[in-house]
Amino acid sequence: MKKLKSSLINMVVVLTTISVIAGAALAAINKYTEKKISEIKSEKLAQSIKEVLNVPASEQLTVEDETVNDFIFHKTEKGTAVESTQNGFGGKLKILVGFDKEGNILGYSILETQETPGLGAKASEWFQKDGKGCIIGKNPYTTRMGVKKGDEGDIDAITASTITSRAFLNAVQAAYQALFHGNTDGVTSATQEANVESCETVKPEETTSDTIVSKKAESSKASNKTKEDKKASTDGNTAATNVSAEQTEDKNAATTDATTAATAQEQ
Amino acid sequence: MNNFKILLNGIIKENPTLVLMLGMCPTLATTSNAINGMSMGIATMFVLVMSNFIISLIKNLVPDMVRIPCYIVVIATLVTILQMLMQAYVPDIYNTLGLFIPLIVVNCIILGRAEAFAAKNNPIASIFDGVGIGLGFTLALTLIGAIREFLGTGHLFGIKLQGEDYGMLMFVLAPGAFLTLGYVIAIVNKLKKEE
Repeated sequence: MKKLKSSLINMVVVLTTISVIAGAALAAINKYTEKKISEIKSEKLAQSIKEVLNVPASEQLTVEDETVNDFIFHKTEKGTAVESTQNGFGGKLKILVGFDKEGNILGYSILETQETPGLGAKASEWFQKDGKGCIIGKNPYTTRMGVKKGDEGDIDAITASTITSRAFLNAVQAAYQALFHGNTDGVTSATQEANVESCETVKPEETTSDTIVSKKAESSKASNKTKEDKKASTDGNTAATNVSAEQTEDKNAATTDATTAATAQEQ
Repeated sequence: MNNFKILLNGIIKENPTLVLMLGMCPTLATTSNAINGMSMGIATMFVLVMSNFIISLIKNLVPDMVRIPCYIVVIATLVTILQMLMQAYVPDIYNTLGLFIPLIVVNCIILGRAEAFAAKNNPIASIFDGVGIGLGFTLALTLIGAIREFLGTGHLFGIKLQGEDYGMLMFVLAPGAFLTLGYVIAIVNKLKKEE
């Protein structure tokens, strides 16, 4: 067979035909795999929800989903699993973290990660029960979700992966804030509030380069509350009293929130 | 040239990574451990065999001036099909390789073989060429992945061979990829000269 000449008509016809066939093939395969892919995804999610809520895999669990801004809540009678996303070292870090009604962390699972293999990727074990930076059973209200060095947190960072650890803990903190304080407008402000409210000493301004970037990125939405907090921290001596007053208030709020959530779930 | 020779040619004499120096991006990026390297190699081999076969079938129907767009459409279709199949049947591997699967489209090994071999030979020989080059690529990636994994973490194919503290993490990171690739190529060149 002789090769077709490169005339305009030949070229158009051939390229169009090939594209149409390719499109048809893709549509067929997509139809064939679509169901399977979504099945796998929902199965994996259901599995992770059970895992982070400490429910045996064999047990049945009714899950009620709710999406608020960037967070997805999977509410069950055992507690709530929250999907929370932060920017890690290599890209998006998406975690699923389970809280009981008091806000204690039951478990976590990493849904999406692009962290460095051998370093940041260790996050899937590091913060588990037998890991060095265990967060299981802790409550973000009493434990500061930050790395020990630099962030004045209570958690040991993964060796040589401070950025990943910080992103992970911020995601946990943001999930907690979103669930118990209804604060879903942007992760940065949630984190900052958290620091003021759960730390006993007022947090000093950070100077590391990556936090500066995140502060710049802070949305204009960053609520008045954040400003108030900042003001409080500059007020010096009075700050301590302010903070503790706020703490008691928030604790009340938290308990009420938790109770409401509990009632809602029972209904 | 018989088919067996074509096959061996791809694995040794014209090894895409170590001799032809094609497809360096996936080589450097996906070989952080042996399993990842091997999966990437196999995924590429699948696309390569299929694209070689299809392109050698349609080689006379495609006018010369639009051959590159036509080949790219074929390759991109195959890669997308592979991506969907992997998502459906081997989601774990898909999650680790993630971004690099769509990038197979622009892997120069595939377009290179389409141009240099499939467009001039019959479909059967083209399949053998695809298998040979694909195996050569897979072997090179697995080798580099294994070296980096062992030096970097003390594991091999995910199995622990050395204690927790063993391992130069640098080898799992980008600099380790360049170093390992450089040394492997140097050794291969030395062996070739001695022959």
